[in-house]
Amino acid sequence: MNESERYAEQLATQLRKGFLAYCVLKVCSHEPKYTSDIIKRLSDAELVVVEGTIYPLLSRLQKDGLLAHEWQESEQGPPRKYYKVTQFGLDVMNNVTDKIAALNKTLKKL
Amino acid sequence: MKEITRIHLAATPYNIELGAKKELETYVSGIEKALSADEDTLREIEARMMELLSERGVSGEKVITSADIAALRDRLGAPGEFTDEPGQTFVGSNKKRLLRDEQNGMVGGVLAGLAAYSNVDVVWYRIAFVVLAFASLGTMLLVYVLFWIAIPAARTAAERLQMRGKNTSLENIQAESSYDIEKTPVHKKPLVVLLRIVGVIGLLGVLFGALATVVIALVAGIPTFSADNWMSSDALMAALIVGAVSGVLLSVLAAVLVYMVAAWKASKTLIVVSACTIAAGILSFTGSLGLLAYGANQSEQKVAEHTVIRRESLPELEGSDKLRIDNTNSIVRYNVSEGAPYAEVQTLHLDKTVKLPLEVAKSGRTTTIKIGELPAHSCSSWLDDCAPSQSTVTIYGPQLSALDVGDADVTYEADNTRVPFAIVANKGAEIALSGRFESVDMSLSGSSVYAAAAAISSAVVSVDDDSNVSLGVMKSLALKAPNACGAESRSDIEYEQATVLTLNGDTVAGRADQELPCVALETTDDY
Repeated sequence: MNESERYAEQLATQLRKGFLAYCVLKVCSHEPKYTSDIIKRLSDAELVVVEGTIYPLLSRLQKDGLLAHEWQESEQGPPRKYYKVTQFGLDVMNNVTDKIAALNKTLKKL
Repeated sequence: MKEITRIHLAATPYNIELGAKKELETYVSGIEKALSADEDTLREIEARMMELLSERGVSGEKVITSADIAALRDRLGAPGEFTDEPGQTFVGSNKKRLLRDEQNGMVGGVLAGLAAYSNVDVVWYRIAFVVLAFASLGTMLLVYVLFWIAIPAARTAAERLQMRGKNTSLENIQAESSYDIEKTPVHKKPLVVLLRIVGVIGLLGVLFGALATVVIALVAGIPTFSADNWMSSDALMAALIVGAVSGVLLSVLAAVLVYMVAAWKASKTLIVVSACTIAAGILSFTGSLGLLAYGANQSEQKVAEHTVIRRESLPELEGSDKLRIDNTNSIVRYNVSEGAPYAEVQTLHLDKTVKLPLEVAKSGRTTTIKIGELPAHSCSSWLDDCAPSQSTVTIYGPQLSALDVGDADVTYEADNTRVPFAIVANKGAEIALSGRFESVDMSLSGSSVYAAAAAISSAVVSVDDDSNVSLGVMKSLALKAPNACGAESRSDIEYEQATVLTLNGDTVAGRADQELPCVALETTDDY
C-alpha cells in the first residue's frame, strides 16, 4: 500500500464509521435480522473490513434504543439473536436519509 | 502428532489441537477485554465463530487447528476491533495523551505513564522520584496520589498506543491487543513492590554514602599522605587511592542493583557487570587494607628514626620559685624534682640536627622561658602544613609558687605543694595540673585549666572571657567572675564537690548548680 492509498483508506474508514450505523439500521428496517445476515449483506457492499467492528456497533445501537432484539430458535446450534429497528431508530434513520441526500446534492454540485 | 483436547463454543463441544486452544483462549479473552464484559455479545461472537468454522468444514468430530483460528481472526479482526469508541479507535490519530500505565507500573502506573509519555526509561523516573520523595520530606508522595487520581489509566489498546504517541492504526492496535492479557505478575504483588521500594531506597543510600565517603577521604587524605609530608609514605597514598577505587566500585554496584530492582530486569550483561564489580571491589578493598598496614608501619619507622631527645641544663631555675612560660607551639611539661634543674627537649623533624631554640631569662626569683620554633621545611606545593614537625619540652625543676603561662600548652606535676600556688593563665593558655595542693589561686582570661585530677584543698578561681575550668572535690571553692560580659564570653566551670562554695564573696548553701551572670557553674557529682 503506498502513501496515497493508505491516506485514502484512512479517510474511507472515517466515512464508513457513521455510514455503517446507518446501513445496519437500514438492513434491519424491513424484518428482524440475524447478525450473520447483517454481516453478509454489508460485506457484499464492501462496508465491513473485519466482522469484529459490527458487534460493538450493534450493542451501542441497542443501548441507545435504536435497535431491539429477540431470540429465535434455529435448526442447528444455539438460539439466535434477531435485531429489529425501533420507532426511534426508524426516525433517526429517516433523518439520516435526508442528510445523506443533502450531502449527495452537494457532492454533485462540486 | 499433536495433542487434542475439547472445548465448548456457545455450549457446543469441539475437538481442538492443544496449541490452537491456547491461541483461541488468548483471542477470546482479548475480545472479552475489548468488549468490557458484554456477555450477550460474546455469546453471539462464539455463535458466529461456529458458523465460520462450519463454513470451513469444521463440525462434529473434526478437529480445530491453528489454521482455523488464524482464519477466524482474519474474518473477525483483532481484539482491538471489538471496541466501540467513536472518534478515537479507528481514526489514525497519533496525538499523545498522558495516561497511567498500569501494566508496566509498580503502584499506580503514574511514573510508567510519564515515562511512556516522555519516551524516557521508567527507571530514571523511579530513581528521581525516590530521591525527590526524600528531599521534599514526603510531599512527593502526596503529589503522586494526586496524579494517580487526576490521570486516567490507559485501559484499551488504543489508549495504550496514544499513551506512547503511536499511531492508532489497525495494524498497531492488532499488535498491541495481542499481548494485553495478563495476571498480576510476581513483581507487582504488593509485598514485592514494597520490598523493591525499600531495596531501591537502601541501595541509593549505599550509593550516595559510598560516593560521599570517597570524596571526604580524598579531600582529607591527599594533603595528609602527600609526598610533601615526610612522615607519610607512598604506600599510604596508594592505600588511599586503591581504597577510593573500591568505594567507587561499591557505588557502581549499588547503581547497577538500583537499576535492576527498579526496572525489574536482570540481563546477562547486568549480572556479569555486578559480578565483576564485586570481584574488583573485594580485591581493591583488601589491597587497600594491606597497603594501609604496610604504609602505617613505614611511617612509624620514619617517626622513630627522626625523633631526637636532647638534654639542656637550666641553671637559671635554681633558686627560682616563679616561672613564666611564653607563647609557644611546643608541648611543655613541668615535673617537680630534686637536683639540678634541666630540660629534656624532644624534637621530631626531617633534619635531625636542628635544635629547638630555648631562651631563659632570670629576674629576681622569676624565670622566664621562651621556646622558639623549629625551622620550617622547604615546601614545594600548595599545601600549607606540608612538612609537620613536633616538639616537647619536659622541665625538671624545683617546686614553684607561681606559674604564669602565655599561649601555650603546659602540664604541671607536683607531689605535694604546701605553699600557696598561684596560676595566671593568659589568653590561649591550656594548663593541666596533677598532684596535691594545699591552696591554689587561679586567674583565667580566655584560657582553660584542667585540675579535676589534682587534689586541691581550697581553690580561688577568677574567670573571665570564655574560660573553662574543671575541678575535683575541694574543701572550699571561692569563685570570682565579672557581672557583665559579652554574649560569647561566658565561662564554664565544672566541679565535683565543694564543702563551702562562695560566689563573688557570698556563701551559697546547698550544692545545686549555680548561675552567675558570666559563669555557668555545674557540678559533676552524681549524689
